[in-house]
Amino acid sequence: MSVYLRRNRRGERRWPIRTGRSDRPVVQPPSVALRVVLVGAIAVGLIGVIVFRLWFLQILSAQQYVSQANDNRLRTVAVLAPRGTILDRSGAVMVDNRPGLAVGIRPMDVPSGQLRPLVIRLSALLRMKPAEIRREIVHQVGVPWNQVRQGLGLQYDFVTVKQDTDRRIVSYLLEHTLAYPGVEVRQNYLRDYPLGELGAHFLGQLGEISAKELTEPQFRGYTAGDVVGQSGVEYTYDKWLRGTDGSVRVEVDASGRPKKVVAGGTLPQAGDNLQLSIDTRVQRAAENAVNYGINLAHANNELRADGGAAVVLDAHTGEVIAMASEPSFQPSWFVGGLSAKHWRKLNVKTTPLLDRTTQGQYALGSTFKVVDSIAGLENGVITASTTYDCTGAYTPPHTLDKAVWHCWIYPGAHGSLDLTQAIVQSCDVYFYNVGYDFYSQKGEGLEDWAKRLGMGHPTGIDLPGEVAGLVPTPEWKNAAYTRKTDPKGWRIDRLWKPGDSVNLAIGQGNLEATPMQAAVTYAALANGGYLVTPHVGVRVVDSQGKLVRRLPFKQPRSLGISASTIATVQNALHEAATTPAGTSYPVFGHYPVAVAGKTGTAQVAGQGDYAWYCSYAPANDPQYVVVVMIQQGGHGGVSAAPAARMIYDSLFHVSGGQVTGAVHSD
Amino acid sequence: MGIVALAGLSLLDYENYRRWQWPLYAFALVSIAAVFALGPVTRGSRRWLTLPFVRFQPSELALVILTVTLAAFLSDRLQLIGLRRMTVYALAYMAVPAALVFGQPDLGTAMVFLILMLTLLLFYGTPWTHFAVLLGAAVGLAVLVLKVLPMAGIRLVHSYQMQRLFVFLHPGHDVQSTGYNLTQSLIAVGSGAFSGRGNQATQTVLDFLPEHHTDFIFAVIGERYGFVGAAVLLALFVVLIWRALRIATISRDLLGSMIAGCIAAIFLFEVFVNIGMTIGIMPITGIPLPFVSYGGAALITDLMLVGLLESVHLRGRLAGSGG
Repeated sequence: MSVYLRRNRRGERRWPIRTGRSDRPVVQPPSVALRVVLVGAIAVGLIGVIVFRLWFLQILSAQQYVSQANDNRLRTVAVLAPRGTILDRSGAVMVDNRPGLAVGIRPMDVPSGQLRPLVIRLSALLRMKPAEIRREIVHQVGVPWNQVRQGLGLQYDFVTVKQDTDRRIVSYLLEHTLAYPGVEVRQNYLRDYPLGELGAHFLGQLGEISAKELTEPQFRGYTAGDVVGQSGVEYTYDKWLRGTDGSVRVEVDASGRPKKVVAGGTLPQAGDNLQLSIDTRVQRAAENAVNYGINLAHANNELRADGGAAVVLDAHTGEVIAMASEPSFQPSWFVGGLSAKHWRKLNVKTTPLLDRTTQGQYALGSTFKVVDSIAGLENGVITASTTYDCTGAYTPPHTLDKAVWHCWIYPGAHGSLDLTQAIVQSCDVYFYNVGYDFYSQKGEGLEDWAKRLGMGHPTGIDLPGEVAGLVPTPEWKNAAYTRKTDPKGWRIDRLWKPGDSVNLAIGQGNLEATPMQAAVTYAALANGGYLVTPHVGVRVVDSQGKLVRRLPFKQPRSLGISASTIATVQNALHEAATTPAGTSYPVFGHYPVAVAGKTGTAQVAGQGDYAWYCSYAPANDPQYVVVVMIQQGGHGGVSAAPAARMIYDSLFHVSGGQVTGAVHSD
Repeated sequence: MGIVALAGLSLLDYENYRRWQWPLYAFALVSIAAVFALGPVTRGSRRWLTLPFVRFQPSELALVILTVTLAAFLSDRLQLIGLRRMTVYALAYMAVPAALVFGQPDLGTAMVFLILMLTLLLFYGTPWTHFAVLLGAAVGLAVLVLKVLPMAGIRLVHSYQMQRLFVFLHPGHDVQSTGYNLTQSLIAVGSGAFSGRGNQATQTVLDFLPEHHTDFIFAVIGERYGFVGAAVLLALFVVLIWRALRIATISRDLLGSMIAGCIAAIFLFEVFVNIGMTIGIMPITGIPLPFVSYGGAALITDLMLVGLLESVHLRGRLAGSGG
């Protein structure tokens, strides 16, 4: 037995302490109470900390955490709204929706390690390349492929692999679900084109919105992944056509798996229908007419003819009745993704995707003489009775190089003509003189009139991608020819010389315009001097056909052309088509409707001549403007005018009637 | 089974542990060590032993055993109070099992072992100066392990443990991966508000918060029953700790006091660390919430500790009334 004395701090002996064995006397060291209090105090402190923290979390910041919990559990799933249909002016459906079947993968439901073989098997079934499917997955999930493969970073996302899947492939998939874990089939809406390739260019295609488009004002308020119009009226009127996607609020678990639908979603609102000014009947005629014109050119040994365009405008309002560009394509090729085969078909030298009516710019040739006439009469350069003598050749009076310009009739000659006969017979020498008169007058009288009549700047049609064309001016020449672009002769070439005015007067040289611009110019002549803004869209109607909105367009603007000028030129154009001396008399001389029109044959370096026919009818009360251009189609009277006649057949319900013959005139 | 253990332990005079302390200590060490050889790996660590009938976690059982054996060891040497030697002995006594558990790796239980040792030293009557030295040593060791050794290329601490510490110090960082548990846990507790979301609870029901049956059980309570529910649970723990401390004061001898005080400290530590990590005031460790977390071994351990408490309590009263 051992007894020890414990000392307190002052060294005094205090309590005897013994070992705690039960067989010995028990002595409690007094420090136990102190230490219990100490532990108790620590306990109170720690519990207090917890309580305060809980108070802070659950009482003071509760609202913030409640909303975070809701963010966690609630997902908004978009329900696609069916896109509006596109109708022609009489209400016939041009673009419709059809239900389609999309095949996709939910990477999360694919057992780990099986995604790669699954993609390969699926690619064989869908006739796609495995790399394409992988690209889709990576693009839509937003996670690199090697992470997707390991199942990292995946939410419960559905990755659409193929938009428009053959029904047989879908039923095969549905029968073999076990062999394709994680593969799902979904219904979606796809564009349908009941009229085939009719109007392919101006109708346009759909596609997923690109990063660049998201920054454009046209697409403000859109989100990534939206399918939007990429071209044509689908692009311009996207916000009317697309409708409003609905949404479903879904409660999801931590891996994004939907658990139940909760209240608070919205129903999708179908897009409104767009009514166009296009008349499908005339549109079909126009497309056929361009091909007919190409064939005529081939028949006349213009074998290089490979494309063309036609525009039909309402002369007073600028409504586009038809606009055709050939060669064309099937808009349905773009539905559900362009296949490699179709991509190759579209990427050929003849550029089927190019809308030649608004995106192609060409030399106008003699059809520009109408601009010369209006400009000359209005600026007082000529009068209706001014005559020039055509000897078949022309040399500007004060040039150094003594270059010679020929009339198309060379080695023949027109003799002395006034303005009307010059237009009727399309005498080049007459207008060479007019061009030189403008040159010697200084200033830019002719160029200004060309611009006022709609050339050199976009017409403002409601289609994307329109080009401006070009009206050459002294300033433009000075800026276009520099040491860089023309190292040899830029000092000379940048100067505006008499030849430039002479060339411009017959629509050659640097002048370029789109067929749509030519149509606007001729519409101004036809409607008595008003510049129209061509447009395809007319009104937006809802699914019941009720008017939602009449689309706003610039009202035709008066150009201030005197009535006598209009009358003189109109009369000359009428005679050009209906009197035996006229350039298009063989085509329209005996036509039941009085047509007024001008042929054009534009020379392009290294290519065959571009054939033009710009016209309107009826001549005494103009309603429609018809412009036809056949690339490398030879003489305007040979290929373009007969094509225009085919369009008039459709416009005025004229049946049959043979072209009486063709002159090889300009 | 836990209740049986509770009853058995409360009836058994804790004096017996003094007699059996060395075999018990040896058993604890061997069983923990056996895990390394025999235990299956679950989630990167070996903590379990599978015997023919039961599967048990030696570190949990060792917690009970070490409580009584170290208490017995110290109370046998009351005459050596205040000697530096005794503190070192106790340190060594506990360092062996703690190191073994730490190697499983189970940092949480190793820390409980150290708390257990500190409490026993406290009740034993170790001078305050020793605690100060221990504290200094602990800080020095922490700096060494967390800063110096990694620079030298030696890593005693697993990277996930470092990450947890980092996340604790930088809440809101990397919410998607390493900070995910903490963030979701805070959202769960916070969204419980005053009275809880009851059956509307989503954080824990929809698995946004993993481990919500075990380590993050308090988040479930916080979300479902709110501040009120959490306060009631805390009150129950306060009662438990208070009872344990009370038993420590009425124990018939120092051994009983040491055991009871130690159990109070263990519960306090476990409650504080577990709830603390759920509400973002402690780093995340795998320490369960006593009596609440899902897991048989931990529950049995908790009940055995209560059994020990009762054992001390019974004999304390007996001693007081006439023994």
